[in-house]
Amino acid sequence: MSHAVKIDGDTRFGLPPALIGRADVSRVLREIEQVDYALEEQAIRTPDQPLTIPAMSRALVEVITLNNIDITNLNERKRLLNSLRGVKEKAPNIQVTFAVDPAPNITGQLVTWIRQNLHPSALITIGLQPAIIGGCVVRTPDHIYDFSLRKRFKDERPALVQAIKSVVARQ
Amino acid sequence: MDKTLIIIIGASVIGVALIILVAVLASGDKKKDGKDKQKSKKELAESYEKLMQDNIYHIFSKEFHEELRNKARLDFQKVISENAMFLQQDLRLTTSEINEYLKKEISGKLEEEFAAYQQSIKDVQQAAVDSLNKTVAAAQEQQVALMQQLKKDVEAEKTKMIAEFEANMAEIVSYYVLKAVGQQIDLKDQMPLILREMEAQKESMRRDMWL
Repeated sequence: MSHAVKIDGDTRFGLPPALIGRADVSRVLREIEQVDYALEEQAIRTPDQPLTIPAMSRALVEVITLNNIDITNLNERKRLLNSLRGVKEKAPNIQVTFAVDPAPNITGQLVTWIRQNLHPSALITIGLQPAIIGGCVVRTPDHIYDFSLRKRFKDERPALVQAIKSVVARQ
Repeated sequence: MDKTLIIIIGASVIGVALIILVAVLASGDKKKDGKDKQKSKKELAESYEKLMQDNIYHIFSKEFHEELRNKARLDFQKVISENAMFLQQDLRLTTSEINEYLKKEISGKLEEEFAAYQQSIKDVQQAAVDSLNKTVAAAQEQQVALMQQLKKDVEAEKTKMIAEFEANMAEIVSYYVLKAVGQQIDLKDQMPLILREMEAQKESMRRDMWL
């Protein structure tokens, strides 16, 4: 699935679901720097021979695939490095807090939705707060969106009070 | 009044004692004199006869003088006896009058005192009853006031607890659900709801992300 989105005619750099937060991006960035270094070294030492792509992690492979990058091409490697550095420094961060530790597939589902609907390079931080009971709390750079069960209990308090009063009145 | 009474009673007692003494003496002499009297009369009569016949100057003799003396003594004793009898009767009368007077006075005094005592007892009883009634009324008033205060406090406490409960109901329910459900919440079932709610806020969130 391509996460690269076109905005104002430009294709923005996308991140795969495997890269969730800034730490993942940093790790992939270090890896691509190492790959870049290795391929440059190969190009210098054996210029006549085709480049051998070193072993890469699944996350890096996904990044390359998603953004249609030719890793053997120096310019594209540099573009990838710049994009990753840009993402690491400037990509918006969303903090999502759950009541329980989410399973990887749940996290992937959430990350996919966020990058498809909100921002293709959004970085997500997963938090844990059992007090919210259920649902989640989403914190964007400027707002907090409370989708938790605790908030729903608070919002529906008048209904609970009414229900109790009607029971008491019946008695 | 009391001193007079005592003096009268003392005089009466002394008079009675005198009477008794005189009576005893008189009766003693009387018995002896009675026999002696009969005897002496007879003897005197005989002696007068004899003397008249024997001596015209017997009235100047010792025996005549003795006889006169005896006669005088007898007369004197008779007078004394009569007077003693009169005195005795008088004293008896006086004593009975004094008794009556004392009875009347003492009875009157005792009745007055008993009446006063009874009245004071009644007054004390009445005062005690009034005091008890006042205490009962005060206790009842205080009980009513306490009941009202208690009711008010209970109502206030109930209202406060209800207000606290209503204010913290959400927290209470949250706590209850959290304790009941705990870690058993499955996010997989919640994801459709979460995504639906995020979809509703998508535009706002996107604006935040692209600022």
